[in-house]
Amino acid sequence: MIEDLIFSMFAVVALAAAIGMIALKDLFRAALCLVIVFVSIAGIYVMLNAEFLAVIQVLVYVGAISILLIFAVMLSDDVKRANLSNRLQIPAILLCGVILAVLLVAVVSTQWNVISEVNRSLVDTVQIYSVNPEISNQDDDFSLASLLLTDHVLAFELVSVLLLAALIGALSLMRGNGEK
Amino acid sequence: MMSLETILGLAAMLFVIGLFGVLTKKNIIAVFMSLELMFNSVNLTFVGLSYYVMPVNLVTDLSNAMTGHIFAIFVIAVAAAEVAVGLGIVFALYRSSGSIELTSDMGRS
Repeated sequence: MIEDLIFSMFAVVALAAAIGMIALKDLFRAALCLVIVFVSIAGIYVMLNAEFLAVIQVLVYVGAISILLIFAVMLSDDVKRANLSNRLQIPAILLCGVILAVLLVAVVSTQWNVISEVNRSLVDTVQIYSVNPEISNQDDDFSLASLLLTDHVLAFELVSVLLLAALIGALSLMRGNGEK
Repeated sequence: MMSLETILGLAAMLFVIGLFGVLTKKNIIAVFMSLELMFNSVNLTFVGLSYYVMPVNLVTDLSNAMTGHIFAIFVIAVAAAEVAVGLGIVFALYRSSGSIELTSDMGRS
């Protein structure tokens, strides 16, 4: 009961802040609305057994990406009237409405293979203790760290190379052409 | 109230709001912000499905319950790289044209 209440609070706050991000004229306030959306989604992650992802969400999105975006907001000529829309609003609303309707129909009409009561506690144990598997009384090692370095090691290394390439690319783009 | 359908519906609505922003915003920073919203809604879908839907072969391999979380971690890493390079492009654009408005006469001024 209390869980439903907290979830609906997070969901309503996330939706309202997302709409505010689109509707507000002031680009700086829109960026702050985006931060509110990120924090609400981190709260929903906690309720969905994903504590590690919630922490990552707060660190990466709330801490780093929003700061970068707010830095870039300062490039606008007139921040108070920078979040304007172009002339494509009506077709965009129609397209988004159609896509939303298709998504919602797909969500409602699909027969989801929901976890049964028997397996619920097992999945909870795996997901909750994935950051601290020693105290879970399970034999297998299902911690996030060992999964990233065994089953998903190729993707892990590729992401490492991608981050290095992004770092170098961002540096060379920021440096510009003229000065050496 | 908190069920798979509501979480997927919330993620769908956030995705559509972000898509609307990407399609209509004039400022490239606002487009980036909407793009981040879309990334987040997709991550929410991954985590929600990972929490509610039965993983395949759970009994033989417990780590299958973590697939959604792993996916979300990689999405976050790629999104962070995308934002770094994208904002680098925005800075280069600002330096060359003096404006970050996405209008049809961009670069001519």
